[in-house]
Amino acid sequence: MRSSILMDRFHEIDLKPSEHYSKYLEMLENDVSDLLINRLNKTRSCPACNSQKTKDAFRKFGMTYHECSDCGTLFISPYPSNEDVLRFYEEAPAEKFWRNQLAKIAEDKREQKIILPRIEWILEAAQEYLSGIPNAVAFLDSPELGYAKFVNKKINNIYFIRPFVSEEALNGYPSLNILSSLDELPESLDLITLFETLDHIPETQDFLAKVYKALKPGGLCFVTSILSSGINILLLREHASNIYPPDRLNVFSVEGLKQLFDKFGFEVLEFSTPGILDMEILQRTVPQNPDLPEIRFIKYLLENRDEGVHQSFQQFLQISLMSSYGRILLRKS
Amino acid sequence: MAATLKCGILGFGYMGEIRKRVIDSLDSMEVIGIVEPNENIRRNIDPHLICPSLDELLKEGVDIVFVATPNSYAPDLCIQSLNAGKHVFCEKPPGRNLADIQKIIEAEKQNPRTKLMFGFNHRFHPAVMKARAVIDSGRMGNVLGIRGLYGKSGGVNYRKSWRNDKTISGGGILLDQGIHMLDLFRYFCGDFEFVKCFLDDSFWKMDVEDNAYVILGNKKNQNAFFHSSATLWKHIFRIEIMLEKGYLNVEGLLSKTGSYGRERLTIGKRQFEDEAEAIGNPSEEIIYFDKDLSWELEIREFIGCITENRAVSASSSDDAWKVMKIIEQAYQDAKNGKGGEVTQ
Repeated sequence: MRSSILMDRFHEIDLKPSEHYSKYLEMLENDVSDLLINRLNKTRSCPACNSQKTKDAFRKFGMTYHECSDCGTLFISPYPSNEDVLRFYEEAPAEKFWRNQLAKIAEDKREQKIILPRIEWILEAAQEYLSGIPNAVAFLDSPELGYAKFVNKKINNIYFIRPFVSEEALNGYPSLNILSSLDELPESLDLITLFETLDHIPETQDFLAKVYKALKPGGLCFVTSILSSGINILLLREHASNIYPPDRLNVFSVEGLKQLFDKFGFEVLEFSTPGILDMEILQRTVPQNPDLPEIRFIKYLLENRDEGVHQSFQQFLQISLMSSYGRILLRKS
Repeated sequence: MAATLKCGILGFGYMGEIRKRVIDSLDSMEVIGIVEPNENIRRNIDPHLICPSLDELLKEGVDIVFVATPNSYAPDLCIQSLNAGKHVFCEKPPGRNLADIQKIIEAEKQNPRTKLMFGFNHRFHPAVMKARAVIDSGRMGNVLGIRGLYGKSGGVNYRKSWRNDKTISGGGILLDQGIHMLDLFRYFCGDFEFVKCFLDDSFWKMDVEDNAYVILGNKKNQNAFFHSSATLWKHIFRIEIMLEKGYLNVEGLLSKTGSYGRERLTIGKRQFEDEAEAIGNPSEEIIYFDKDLSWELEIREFIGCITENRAVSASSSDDAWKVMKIIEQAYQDAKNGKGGEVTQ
């Protein structure tokens, strides 16, 4: 297994312009209240390790996050069904605002700092482990066609599930196959991407079983995820601005994800936490929440040490797998 | 050919033990005999596997002979095995000098059905393989130059080791450890035609060098420099590769003791198009590796050459000859003098 350290330079505001992001969160809280909160029907054990030993952690937008006592994963229970979550992403005004306005404002930076590095990650890993350009790829995460734009001419078969785009928008992508559900995926895919997908899938294990089945032997699965074992989430808990339903129905820990992937027989080729923004987020959030427990150390670090030390600490977090953004490369055995 | 390749090991020191461990882990190979003259070491061998000589081993019907002996014995053992029609895997260095490897190559030519590979296992280390993959992808442009440092501390048994007895080893730290660095330089850049070398026996005062400083150049205008040392007092392995669009640094080596540190590859991308952000301190990706499969991969490659009847292309006799040619030239250059004098 390998682990990557990525010390790039960008700011949270580049990806989530603050005024618009605040508006999005406001809208989202209302939408969750209107469309999801009454749809919480089922309870569950830890989605990573199945442990039933859990404790209440905190509430966000009216939903309860539990913390697994065995692996440290945070998860919402009771929880909405997959159909309710999909409908929410399709219909909620907040999600439309995200797609139509917020995402467009930050489009250039997102392409440059998020999408292109991921495309590079995919193509390099394909070269290394599949000995060339993959033939069949499924992007099981993007509601738009951002990733297809960059690989459309290189990969023969690209699968998306119900992207939120018009019929006309699909015309420029002859290699695209649009499916209406995961069950329609062929069982011979070279690679599948799950970019923050597992975070919002309620029935995680059923979903992962289908992903495993759809990959050919030796096929690759690219995962990114927000991690409960990351410093931000450990310290900020419900005050972390990126922890909210339904995007984060699950906030897995490093340990939880390792158990989950191991259970399905995936070989973990890479496990990294290449987050860039932990220190910046703490710098913004800690002063707003002076009563947070267990922040004496980080408060001292933020107030009394300079940018260089903060960057070194960010690198230490990556090396120690303690940044709150994870990237994992899996191979089907 | 039998489904399982029968292997014999000559020499059961550090390398012989590693080879046995790897062979034992593979279904397609089995060790059927080990020749080890040292009685103390022989005690560590399963008595059923002890074999009195190479002659006896050859009679037992081995398919592959692993030569893991001190340098002075390796050439004759390789030649005898090749002439008996056996495949040969020989540890580095391939003898004491260029004449030794030339003799082995003659035997290889006389026995074209046999496969011969040398133990330049550093090529199969994960950070090295990844660096080579990045170079091969072309995304960082051509290699401009390369710099290496390979050092160790010597250790309490340094004076007693056969490696520092010139009649057995043929050379000091340059031949023993520096040969890996040279092999990797060739792996990343291709051949080098020019060499300048300074040698020292500054601390250990043996009849071989304890420090080698080597400068290389080639017709592609790539220059390279490395320092191989037994007086660094710390185990260090580092290669810095400059490319047109960035740099690659390989640092640390996965090993049994972990003394060279975590193996990692740093990929830095040139950013002077956007200097407002970079200012000589570009974004880097550092990849840490935690599993050393180099021994297994190396042997699997050798098995592939045998079973698929492929020519040996990695760590071949040609690679061994070319790297020994550079080393011989380096020793010659060092002997000729210290270079031009700087007049004050």
